[in-house]
Amino acid sequence: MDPFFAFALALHVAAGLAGCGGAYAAWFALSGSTPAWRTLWWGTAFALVGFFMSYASGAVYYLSYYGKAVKPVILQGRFPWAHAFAMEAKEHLFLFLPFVTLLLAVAIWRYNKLLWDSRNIALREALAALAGVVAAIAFIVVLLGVLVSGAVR
Amino acid sequence: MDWHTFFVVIHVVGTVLGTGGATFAEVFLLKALRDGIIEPFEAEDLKVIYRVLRIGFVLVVISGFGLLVLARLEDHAQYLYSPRLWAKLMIVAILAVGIIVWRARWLPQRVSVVLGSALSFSAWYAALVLGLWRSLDLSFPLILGAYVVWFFVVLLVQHFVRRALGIAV
Amino acid sequence: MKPDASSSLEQNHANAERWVAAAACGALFALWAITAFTISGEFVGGIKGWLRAVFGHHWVGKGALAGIAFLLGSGASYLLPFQRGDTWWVRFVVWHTVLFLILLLGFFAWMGLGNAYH
Repeated sequence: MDPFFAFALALHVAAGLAGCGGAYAAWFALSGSTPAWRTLWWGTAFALVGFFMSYASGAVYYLSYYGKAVKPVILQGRFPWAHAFAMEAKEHLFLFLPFVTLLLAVAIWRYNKLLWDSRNIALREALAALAGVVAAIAFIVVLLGVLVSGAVR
Repeated sequence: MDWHTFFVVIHVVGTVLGTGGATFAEVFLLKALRDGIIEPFEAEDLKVIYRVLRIGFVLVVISGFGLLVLARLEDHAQYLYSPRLWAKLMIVAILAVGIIVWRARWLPQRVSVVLGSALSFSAWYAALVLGLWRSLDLSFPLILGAYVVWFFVVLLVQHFVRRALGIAV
Repeated sequence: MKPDASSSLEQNHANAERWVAAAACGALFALWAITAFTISGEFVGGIKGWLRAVFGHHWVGKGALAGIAFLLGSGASYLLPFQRGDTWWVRFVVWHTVLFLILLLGFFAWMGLGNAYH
């Protein structure tokens, strides 16, 4: 594989993992009763930047290399469902992440430390659920990615 | 040092911190519960151990996926379908779900402590064994089934140890 | 607390609520756009072809349209504030995300595992 596309793939995985971990950290911070402002801020920042970077690097790899060099290998190999199911599901589920993470980021940006105000408990719980769902989707996308890469032989 | 060796070193360090952390979490929890009350300084010790556990978890996940990317780039894609690998990935997921259940307080605290402790201890040691036992040739469902049995063994042993020490959770 | 500080806090809170409700509405529009174009694109051949013609690739097109939907949804919500509070909107987005996750996974499992793919 060309070093440029190898780097794009590695960056895609690393940034996606950072996004997943960031969302998990945000969930962890929001689900606690004591303010964990730094964990929340950094977690959300990692999630947002990670997902957008993963989207960009993944797009470069997918549009310029995957279609021509990888997809035919998978479809003609022992595991064609790795593209038909895993890759198709992954590329569409991933589209959810930047927008839902943006919502989380807006909430943290606008509410700031008011999120731990007593009247915002319900909102904080809802945002915790949101961060948790983002982390879960990201993890599912990671697993689907392992299935896709493992079929390239 | 090549990338493979680098990631293996990080992976081993992460496993050591995680398995060691899980072991000491158990020891310190037993020590703290002997008098039935977790004192503030005991809670601080436990917080430090849980932080070490989290660091180990992060190192293991990052280096683990680094090794997977390397396998893909070096044409060893068959490793990504290894039953041992998928069992380890499921154990990572189980650990994460366990933390969610504990943190979200979906279960009474006593049940959370007992189950969470067994889950953490059994998961880390299972991941350690799966990583070392390279010649293991079992299917994914069998490995997961063995883990479930292991979890209940750990739960039972922990129960009897607590009883022997006169600890009520 | 001085009246000025109290009213400023209330204003901050009201402002934050409006922003979050707008972002939630935008996220909802984006989720609907992604899911609708994804599923309809597999059955109506013209949709993928149109996305390819306009954006170069159907997947890039879906992302771009989701972005546009996000901006339209959040803009409309910010300018025409609805009665529901932001907590309700965030919960609504959570439920939609989970629902669409199950829907798309099931859809592609049916398409990719159930049928031969060429």
